[in-house]
Amino acid sequence: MSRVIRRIYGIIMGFVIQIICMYRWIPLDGKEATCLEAFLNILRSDNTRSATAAIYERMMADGGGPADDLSVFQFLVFTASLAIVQILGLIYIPFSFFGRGLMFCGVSGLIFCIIPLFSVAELMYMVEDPLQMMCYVGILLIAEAAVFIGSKLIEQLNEASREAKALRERDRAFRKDRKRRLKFKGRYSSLFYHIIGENCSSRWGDYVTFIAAGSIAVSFVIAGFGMWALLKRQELNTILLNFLALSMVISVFLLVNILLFYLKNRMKGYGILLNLGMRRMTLRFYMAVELICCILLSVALGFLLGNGLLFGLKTLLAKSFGVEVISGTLTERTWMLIFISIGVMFVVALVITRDNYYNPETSGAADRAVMAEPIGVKYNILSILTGSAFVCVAIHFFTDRKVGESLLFPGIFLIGCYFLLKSLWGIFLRCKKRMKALSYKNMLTDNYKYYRFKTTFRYMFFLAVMHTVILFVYAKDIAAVATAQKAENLFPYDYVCIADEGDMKEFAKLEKKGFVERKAYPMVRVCSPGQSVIFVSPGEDLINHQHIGVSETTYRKMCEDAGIKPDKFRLSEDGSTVHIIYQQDSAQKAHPINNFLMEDNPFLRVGQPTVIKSGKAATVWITSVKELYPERIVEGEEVSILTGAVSQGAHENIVVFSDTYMEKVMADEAKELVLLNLTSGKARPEVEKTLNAFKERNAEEESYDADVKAYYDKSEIVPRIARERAMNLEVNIFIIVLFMITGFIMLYMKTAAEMEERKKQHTYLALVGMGPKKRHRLIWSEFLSFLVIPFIISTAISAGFLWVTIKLRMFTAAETAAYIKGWGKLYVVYVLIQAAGMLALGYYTVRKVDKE
Amino acid sequence: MKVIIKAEKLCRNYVIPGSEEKKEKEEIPVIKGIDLEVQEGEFVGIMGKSGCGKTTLIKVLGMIDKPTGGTVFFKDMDTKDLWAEELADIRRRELGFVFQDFYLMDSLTIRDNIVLPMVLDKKKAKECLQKGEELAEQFGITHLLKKHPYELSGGEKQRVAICRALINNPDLILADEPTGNLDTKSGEIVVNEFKRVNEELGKTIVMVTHDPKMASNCKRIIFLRDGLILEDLNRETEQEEFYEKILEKMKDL
Repeated sequence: MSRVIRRIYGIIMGFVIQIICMYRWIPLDGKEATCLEAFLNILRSDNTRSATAAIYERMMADGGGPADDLSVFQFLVFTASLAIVQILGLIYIPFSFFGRGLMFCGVSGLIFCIIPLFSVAELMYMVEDPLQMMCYVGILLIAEAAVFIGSKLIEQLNEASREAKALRERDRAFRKDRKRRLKFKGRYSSLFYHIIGENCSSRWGDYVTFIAAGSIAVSFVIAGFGMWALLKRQELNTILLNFLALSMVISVFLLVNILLFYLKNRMKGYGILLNLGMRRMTLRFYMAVELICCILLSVALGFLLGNGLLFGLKTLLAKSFGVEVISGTLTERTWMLIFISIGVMFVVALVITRDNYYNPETSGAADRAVMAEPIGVKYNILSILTGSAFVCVAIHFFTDRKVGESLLFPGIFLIGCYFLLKSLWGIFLRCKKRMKALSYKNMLTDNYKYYRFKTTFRYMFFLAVMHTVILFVYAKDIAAVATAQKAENLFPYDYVCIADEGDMKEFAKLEKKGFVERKAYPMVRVCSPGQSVIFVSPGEDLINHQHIGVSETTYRKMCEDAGIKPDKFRLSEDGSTVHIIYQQDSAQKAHPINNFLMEDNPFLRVGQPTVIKSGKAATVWITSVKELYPERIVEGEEVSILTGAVSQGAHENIVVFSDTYMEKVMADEAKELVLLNLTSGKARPEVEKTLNAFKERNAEEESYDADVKAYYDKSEIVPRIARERAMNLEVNIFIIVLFMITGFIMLYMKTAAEMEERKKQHTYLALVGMGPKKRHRLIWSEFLSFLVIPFIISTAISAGFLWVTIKLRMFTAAETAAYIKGWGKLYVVYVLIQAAGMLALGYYTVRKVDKE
Repeated sequence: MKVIIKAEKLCRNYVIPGSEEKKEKEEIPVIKGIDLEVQEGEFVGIMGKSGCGKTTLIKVLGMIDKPTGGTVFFKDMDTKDLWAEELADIRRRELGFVFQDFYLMDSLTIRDNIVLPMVLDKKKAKECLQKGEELAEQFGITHLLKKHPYELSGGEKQRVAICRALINNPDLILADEPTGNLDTKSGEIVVNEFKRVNEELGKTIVMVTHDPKMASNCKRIIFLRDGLILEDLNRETEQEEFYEKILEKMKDL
């Protein structure tokens, strides 16, 4: 094979070299010639020097004088070497036909190709077309190098193919031997399948638990994706994305636990089968069949359950708010995403639990199931340091308005808590164990915590995270919506208009006719680059957020008109410092006016929006953005309603500049903020007629952003806010219920998984003379610890984050009181439900144990 | 006579995970280089104090556990050269196991438990059931065939385990304290069954026991101390005398 390759390669390369060498580029007697022809011409002449010089001088650039001896010699060497290359190439072709001489020709050709290089360095300055000369030599050199490298590679290929052949033979022999030794003729009898069936059916409870929990995990993912797909066009995108992410994490946790529970229960049976001589592959096959069946059933049931949940939610929302709220559909892409996510979830869970099913040892499998879980000691300091760093970073960022209450930071905080609490709890338990008096006093109640350290911590932490998620993320939002100002109160005016000087006559007419009461304030448009809440990255097209810029005097006047006490501040005359008034209700997240590239100070531009196209280099892009939107320092911030929460803080916030600066910018950018209140409902058609005409005149103003209007109508916005709030409430409650169900399933699984162990323990305790009351107390104390400890942790974390949220949203004392009261009620209800669930599980356990 | 199983410089260590006191993993040698030969037809007892490595030795000899050093030869085959599936075939066809805690599957009936190794060997159902019934009759447990293990007494369970061990007509039976969980009377019945299996059926038996009375039924006793063979005692006298001798040797353990 390699001989054939050698032959083909040699012939091809021989011809390639010949083709290159046939290139005519040396001027000879009025025509172009090849190197060989030129060299033969020199050889044929009587005077080698003059013949060489004649050719060389023809090649020289205009103005080149007669060639000196050294140049002539160099050119002769150059021509001779390249002629030899061609001759060698010619010899090489017939040799190649017999598969020989490849290496020799490769090396010699390469040497004769390198020799002219020494001449080229000098000659290229003299000849008329140095590029042609260099390219010719270069291409020839590459071709000869290819012959050389190719010959080496073919040689190695030869060697490699010999080795591969030997390896294949060894492999074949090994497989043959393996096949012979592992031959296991025949088919399993019907009795085998009967036994396998009996063994499976006796553990149907395990399958039911597996399939139930698996289907719930799957339904969670379907519900998460489904809700996101159906409602993503509503204002619930962030809630739904958070739910989606959390549902994925919880589903994986659920699957890992159910797999551990299932495998632990099946391990004893697998161990017996292996000890009795069942082949490992056969066992793995049946384990895989069992697992795959359970997974498929889980997916099928989860599919039905998930669709049921979605249907329930859709019906609920459609009934409450009309079918138009279901703004999206579950497309093929969504389903593909769902199934990929489910697949990934199961794979992750199987990888995590891999050791348990991949290697069911013949001995020790049963021992492993009851083995104590060591309290980690190795990486405690590192773990505490990492945890503390995470916690500090999370607190530092979350307390800053610029991150816009991003849930990323509570997430980082919880990761930090995981490291921190695990290590601290381990240290606490070890210290407690060392104190003999205390240790023996609580020996029975604490025993489980020592013995099953990892499992206990995992469950407790999971519960703490679940409570935190419910109490902070969802209950906080419910309380915020429930206690927020009434939508009507967010709009002191019926209409808010951003007008030009020319529009003022029309508004004056309306006032004159007695249709409206009018207030007008001088203003300028203020734009900020990018989103207020979402980060903008270089290269993106900027969407301008538009706000209202007013002077200090106007601000004070507006406050006076709105009956609000103005803040005190001192702004610079050059407009570098600003005071910001966020116009939003208390249920809206606190966010900066913009957080361009996560910088502390906002970048605000006075004037109409501008577009910076993407496609520029990041540094150029950032510089041009910063030039167009000068950086301002925030002197003060407040959350107040002066004109109306028309965009709930996304647009139309008020930016106060100093009077001097405003005077300066008003010359070019002057606008009028017109606030209208209807004198009576009857006046509305007439007013709207005028406003529609106004809107048409200002069509260009509206073209920048669909959310920014020429005028805002209270009667349109108030019902929308009310609907959004109601939807927010329903979706949040729905999510909380889903999480609570998961929590109970987890605890039930834990209880069921440990039931046999608990029964043994209580039989033993009864035998050593412990009365039923004391034994029951032991069970209750354990259940109580799973209720109390996670609640202490989650209450502390939730309360802390809640307090930060209150501060960030700049609540008044009354708002704070109402908010805490609302959240407190939810907290109590949630604790009572959890306690009832724990009570039910406790009774279930006591009953089961007593039955034993 | 042929050597059925042989151990050369057999070692088995266990790795204990780090504890609060000792943070590093600890390797504990349980068997420290045992040389041993068991010939066909022998009835060998293994005795020693708790923790001396009796169960570990029988697990390694039975190819349930892998040695960490040395070699086990089964019928002149070096078990190190065998694949896991070949070891499984040997365990199924040529070895019979009887464990202290019976190791029966509660999900299966007694009949199914007995025939399990034969079924796993792809034998025909009819053949399996017939053999199972024959053995049950021999051991007097025919009336229990339709029951489940949890409905049986300890002695009955152990007889079921012996039937299961014999179903594939193995050459070697390994028993790990088969009378450990039984009362004296049941223990005697079980040991008499072993004796019968050895004498009448010609099976080789290696039995771990604590009980000198039970051990006196063996033809040879290997005394273990701290993972090493202390003494290899052959029975050359009557059972009573052998029993006295065992008692004497036990004082040295």
